[in-house]
Amino acid sequence: MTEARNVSAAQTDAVAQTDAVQPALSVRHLTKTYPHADRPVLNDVSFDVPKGKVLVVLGPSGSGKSTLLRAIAGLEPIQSGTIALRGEVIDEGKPGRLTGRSKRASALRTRIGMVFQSYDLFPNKTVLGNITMAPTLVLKRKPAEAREEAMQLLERVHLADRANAWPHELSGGQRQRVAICRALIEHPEVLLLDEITAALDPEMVREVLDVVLELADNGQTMVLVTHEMRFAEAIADRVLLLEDGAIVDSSDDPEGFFTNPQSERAKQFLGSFEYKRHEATA
Amino acid sequence: MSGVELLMQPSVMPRLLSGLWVTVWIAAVSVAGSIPVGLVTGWLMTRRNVVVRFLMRLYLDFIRIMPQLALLFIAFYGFARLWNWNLDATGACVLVFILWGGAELGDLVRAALQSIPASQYDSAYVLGFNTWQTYTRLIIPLALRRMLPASVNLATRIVKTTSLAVLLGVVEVVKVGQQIIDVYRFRCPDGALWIYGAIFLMYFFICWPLSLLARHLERKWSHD
Amino acid sequence: MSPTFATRMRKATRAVTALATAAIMALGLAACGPQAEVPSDSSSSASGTTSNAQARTLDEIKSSGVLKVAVFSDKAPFGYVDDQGNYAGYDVVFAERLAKDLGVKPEYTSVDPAARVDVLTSNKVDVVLANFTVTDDRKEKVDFADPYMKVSLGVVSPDGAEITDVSQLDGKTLIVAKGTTAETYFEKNYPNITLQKYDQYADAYNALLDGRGDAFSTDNTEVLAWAKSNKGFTVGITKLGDAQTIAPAVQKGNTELLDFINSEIKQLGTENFFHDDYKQTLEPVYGDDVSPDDIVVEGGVVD
Repeated sequence: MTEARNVSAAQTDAVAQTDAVQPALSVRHLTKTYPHADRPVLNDVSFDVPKGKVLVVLGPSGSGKSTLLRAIAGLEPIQSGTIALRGEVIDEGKPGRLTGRSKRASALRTRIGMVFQSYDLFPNKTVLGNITMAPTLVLKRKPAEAREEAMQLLERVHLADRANAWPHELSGGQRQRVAICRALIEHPEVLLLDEITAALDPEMVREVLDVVLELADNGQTMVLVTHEMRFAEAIADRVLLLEDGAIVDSSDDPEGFFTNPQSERAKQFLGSFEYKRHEATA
Repeated sequence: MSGVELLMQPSVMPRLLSGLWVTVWIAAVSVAGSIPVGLVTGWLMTRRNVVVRFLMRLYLDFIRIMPQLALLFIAFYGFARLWNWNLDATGACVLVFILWGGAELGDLVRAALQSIPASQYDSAYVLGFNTWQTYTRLIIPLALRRMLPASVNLATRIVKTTSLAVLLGVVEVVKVGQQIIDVYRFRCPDGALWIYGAIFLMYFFICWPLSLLARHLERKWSHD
Repeated sequence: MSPTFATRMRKATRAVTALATAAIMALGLAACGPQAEVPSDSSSSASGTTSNAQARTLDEIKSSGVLKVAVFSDKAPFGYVDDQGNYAGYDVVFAERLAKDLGVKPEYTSVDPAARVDVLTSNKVDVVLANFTVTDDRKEKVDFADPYMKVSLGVVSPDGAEITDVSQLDGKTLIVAKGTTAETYFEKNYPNITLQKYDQYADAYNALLDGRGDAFSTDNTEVLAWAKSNKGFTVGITKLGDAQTIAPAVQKGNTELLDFINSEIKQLGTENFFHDDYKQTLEPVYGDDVSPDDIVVEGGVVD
């Protein structure tokens, strides 16, 4: 288990800490290499996500966006660097560990929620069962209480009438909304969304993104990877551009970043996107 | 005496049924014993350790390549000659059927475990489930649903294969049938047809519900 | 070479031979249809004498309270299971007496002809009383006691196409049961006769009834009894090959039990036990056609 210690005390690098309040999530010098790979998939990545803010991670495919989210969630071992929640380090890189998930304690894991690209609801549980499983099993909350909160969450995502349905009876968009509820019921300090609309039919993307926008309005701290540029622009408080596992640009002014990018890398990336869009509509 | 009259003889049906009981007993004990063996074997088959995997592969292939009858003869006669380990015929049958059923079931367990997407483990991990909770609440229930139809079919095959026990001298339903045919062979020359017909129906009524169950489960869980 | 090493080598060789034999025997039975050439019991048990399964001593039998006897369970009138589900027949009457005089109860194991040697070498039973014909081949694998019956081969065929001489069988199909004397006799002396083999007597008879073969040969006692109750079939050849004796068999080297059985047979001769046995079990089947002295051997002495 990672010993909790104050990250700001040891912190001497350039990332400024303007607020007296600790950021919800701090990543420092995170480096990760896959077994048998000759170069790291994440190379010295550092950033903060203040409480209640939304960070959008952009970058071409293969740039390490998903790996970054998975590493933060503990699903991928990191070889160096730290991951901290509110200043408390929950994971530290171990140079020798290349495979397996992080040995992070169960209680620490519940502080970060994650929704994946694939619809990964538990097929042997109903919608309600999927949502109430973690709070009752892991957080030891009373089943009735968990059920009540689950129903409130389903209400918020407009799925209260499907509480007793089975996952296979739902559409992809409905499943992703249930997956979001399943993550939210643990009140995660940070919610990670890994291309959650990428596998959806176009007409279902909207219903899921609306839910995410509402979460942002309610002050849920989030890190998300998406290819929906207009959505990214609308929701982001902060943008990171990742290329070959390293941060090549970042901005606290998403509007400016998207409409008038300053760096060559950002122009190139957004330009390629425009080009693809034109081609798609042509 | 006609075949129908033979079957109506007061002693015939009770004796066939007592033979059937031996068949069912061997099959039931074998299936019950196969389950723990199969679970452990299947779990070992999914291990990363190369030696463990190789040994499991060897076990499965050996059992698959050898005809069940060869295994029965080795267990019944071979063990006694080699190590003076004298199993009775029923014991030898149960041992072989458990080893056979365990290997086949193990392969089903392995396939079921490997077919569960990694994202299920990821979800459970992120939600904070510990290993025990992940397996008991999620992986094992999912694996069971995936392997149950094929396992029921395996049980059907075990029931049918118990008829080989007759070659070790186990007096099960087929042997009882042969004894009855022999005793009545002068009085009822058509006896064989009727007795074997009755035995066929008995096997059918044991295996048919199992096969219906397998099909039902397959349909019910097809969407997992 | 040290003696320990030699012993180990011998044990290893035995283990391999026994396993291989069991496997080959099983493969032969499993893979081959009725027409196929398969090893009979005489060749399949080549490792019979290298068994590690030690026979039980007389004391062990007495203290266990049971004598384990291998008998046929579907070969009336020698060994069969009657209507009530009890073992009965000429062999069984003798087994009952043998057990009684040992002060124990008999425990029967049902055997097929081909399994009679193996149940002894692997010590599944103490004694085989299953119409076991004494042959030189078998003598190498088991020890026979003095005979209590004698028999030669008979050939039964349909009335319409009766076989009265072996030469008539040339190029025809003869049904035999696996592991019987008939199988070895015809394989050795009449290679031109096609043999159709069955594991079970019941199946062999069905084959004859269905016309799958031209005739069926096994011990004359057996075919006489069968033809008597099956109209349309006659034993055209009643005596073929040398008259052979039928005797109890024990595991090779089990002289203790062998001696007991021999003295028992002598003793029973004085009370004409086997003639009584014949009257009780065989006469109802053979009727007056056969003289009991043609079949029964009393006191272990063949005249």
